[in-house]
Amino acid sequence: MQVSETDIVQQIKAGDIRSFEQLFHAYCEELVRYATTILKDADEAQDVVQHLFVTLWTKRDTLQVNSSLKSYLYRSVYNSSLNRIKQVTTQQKHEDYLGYVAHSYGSAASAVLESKEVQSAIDTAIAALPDQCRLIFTMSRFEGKKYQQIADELQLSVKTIENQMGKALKHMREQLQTYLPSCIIFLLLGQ
Amino acid sequence: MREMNEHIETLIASYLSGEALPHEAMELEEWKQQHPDNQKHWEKSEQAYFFVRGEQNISVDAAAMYRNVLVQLDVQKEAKVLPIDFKRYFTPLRIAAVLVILITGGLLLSRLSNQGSSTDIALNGGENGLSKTLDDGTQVELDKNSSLTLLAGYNGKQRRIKLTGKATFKVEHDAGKPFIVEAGGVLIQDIGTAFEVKAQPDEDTVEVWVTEGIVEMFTENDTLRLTQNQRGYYVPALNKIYDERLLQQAIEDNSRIFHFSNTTLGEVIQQLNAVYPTPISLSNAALERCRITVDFTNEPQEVVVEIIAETLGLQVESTHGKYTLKGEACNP
Repeated sequence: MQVSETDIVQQIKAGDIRSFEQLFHAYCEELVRYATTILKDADEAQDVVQHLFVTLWTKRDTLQVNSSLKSYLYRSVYNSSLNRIKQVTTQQKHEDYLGYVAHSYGSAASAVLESKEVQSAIDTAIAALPDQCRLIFTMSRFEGKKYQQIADELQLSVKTIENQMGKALKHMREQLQTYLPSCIIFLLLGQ
Repeated sequence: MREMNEHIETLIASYLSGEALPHEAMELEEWKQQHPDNQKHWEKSEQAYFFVRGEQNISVDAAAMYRNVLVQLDVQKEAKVLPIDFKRYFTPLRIAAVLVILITGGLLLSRLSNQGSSTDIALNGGENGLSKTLDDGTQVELDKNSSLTLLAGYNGKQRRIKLTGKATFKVEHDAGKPFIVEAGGVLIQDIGTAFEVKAQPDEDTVEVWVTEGIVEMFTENDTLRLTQNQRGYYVPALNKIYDERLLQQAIEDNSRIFHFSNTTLGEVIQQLNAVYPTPISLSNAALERCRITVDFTNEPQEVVVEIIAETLGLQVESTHGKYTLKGEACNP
């Protein structure tokens, strides 16, 4: 039986912890995933989402959801994530994507990259991108630059950056397809 | 179609690059859920995105996160404190009657789909019980007149079961898909190994008995980790989890608390005899119909007997290791 969002809000307002739990499990994962893309840090992302739900419960009496509950959650995660980034005074943490990667991801993942065959496949796939597309992809993915920054530096519109990134990712996915499953198996074995 | 494809590719790249606005992120999630192919398409894109940097996909342990949320909430602070007749839930008879959640060995037979079912699936034990192997290889033996529900998404990101009655499960721990049974208001999660479950949540107490491996019982307020040969108890009415020692302590501390309110003397004597060592009897069966309103809190037996006698105008005779209350039938 589907329970409407309005019902869930009402039940939570009435102090029904089970409804709260259901809501948490319904959205937790996608919200963490979303926050992680913004924050580039899985732990921080989990903090943001946990904090959102803690606040939602403790302030449930005054909870005001004007649009949909889902929109409310997404907007909250978005705003909190941006606030967290602002709070990092040096912004080093956010910008130094490389440092984060080395810290956040396990040695198993690095070990995959150490395989010469895999690395060469990645290099070949990147090299095969059209010049502009390759430049944009590299600036975004390897230099950790925001779309706006790339647009400013290359004197292009953000829309162009978006399109080029979409094309680049599609290309990478197609080129690396044969390597992806082996990567997953390797990572599982390595854990 | 082509435009749609381009739009989705752009959306995926924006999302992974951390550029997606809330409504775009929602649009992507909705698109993923529209068709299994979309989900696959997304997964490959995500893998490729992380793969070029030798990174792993984002993984989320929602169950662990929820426990953190509960810890932060400290729901206990807000919980309404209700006066509860503790003894009602802990008479020796009831303890003996509670059924057991057993945890024994078992094997994970398969790791199957990532999606899980999209709706709740109900299983019913019927008249004769039911044996079934679920999609994830979990073996279920459902007792007669018992039922369970595999909650929507079972064998997706987690395996969540609601149980009413009694059932046996053979499962193996899989950190990626937490296995959680909800029985009578307590959640029981395997932490380190396979386990087998029998539960009777409509009793006043749910008992968890670990015969192998590690299991965690938890509610909003309490968590109890059990290892081999340990037992845990959950009392729904109190929303509390006890280990064996604390339960014994609780029973001892609270077994001599009585609240009688216009209760017949027959019933009073029966309850007192269940707890106190020296039997109490009535000289006259008509006395059973006398009614009394009185509270006793851990009083010595002789005091209890004297108070009853005094209240109802009876005499107490203490001979041959028993108390006898003597007197005429009470006025109606």
